[in-house]
Amino acid sequence: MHIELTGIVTLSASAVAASIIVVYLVRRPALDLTVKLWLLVGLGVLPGIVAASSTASNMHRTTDRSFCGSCHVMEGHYADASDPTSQSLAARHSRNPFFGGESCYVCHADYGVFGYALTKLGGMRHVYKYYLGGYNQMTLAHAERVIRLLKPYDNANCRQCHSTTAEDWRRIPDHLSLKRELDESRVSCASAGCHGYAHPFTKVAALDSATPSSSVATTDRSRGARP
Amino acid sequence: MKLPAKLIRLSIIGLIRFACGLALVGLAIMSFAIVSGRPLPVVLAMSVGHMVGMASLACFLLAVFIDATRPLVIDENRAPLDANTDSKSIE
Repeated sequence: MHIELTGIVTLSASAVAASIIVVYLVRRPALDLTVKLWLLVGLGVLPGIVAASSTASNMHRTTDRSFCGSCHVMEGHYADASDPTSQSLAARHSRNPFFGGESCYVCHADYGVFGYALTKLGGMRHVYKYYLGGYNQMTLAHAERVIRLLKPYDNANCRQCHSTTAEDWRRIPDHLSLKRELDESRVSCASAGCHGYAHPFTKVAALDSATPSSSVATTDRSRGARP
Repeated sequence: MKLPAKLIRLSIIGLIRFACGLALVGLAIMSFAIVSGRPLPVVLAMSVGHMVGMASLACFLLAVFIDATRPLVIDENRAPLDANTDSKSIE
């Protein structure tokens, strides 16, 4: 278990605040100015520090790949991204130090002024779906067949690094011919005919179980290409 | 001591004890999230933990406010409240 500095601050401040409170509850001193000031520290100042530092620590932790993989329905994604021999788009990016242990977040985060907050709000939907939407009852195999992105992957996320302005990029005929579609995310960079799916094993799982009348296949076709 | 004064004394001590209880719960939730690191405790820490903590502070500030305005309203002696105060000792 790794606890970073903000986590240590949280636990330390929490312990001191709890000590002040317990001492007050046990000794029950008269409520004079000194006691009020101590209680202000124990009930206001230190809990404020605990709230701030725990939020910072938790926010940082939610960007970690192991956090995403802690829900069993994401174990396949986590294992593939962490596999040093995997050649999937997700695994290759995860081996890049810029992505590193935060590869899920770096690729799936919304960017822009409110990107961080919007990404975290989106994460709340994942929590809701997991605990109240039935995901926690799914087997991993079933989850890999049916859990898909809410909306097509935005190529803008790829272009945070791959600017599409470099000469090497523009030398590729397919890039030029599909420039408009790529800009509008109508064709995904991470699609079968281009750079491959980011998590290809989920597509294999879907194809294995697909029949012409299956709902999964219908859903996949209706949503178009996605990583 | 008149009944309103008794009630005020009891409410101040009661509020502070309640605030202490809430604070301990909030601190426990936020600390557990750090140790656990699982999604649900983390979400609870950043929602329920914060709300409980703020409610605790609000109760404490309300108690201090009541105590500060007490002499103006009813209690001219304004001695520091003893936390051991209960229904027997103030009779």
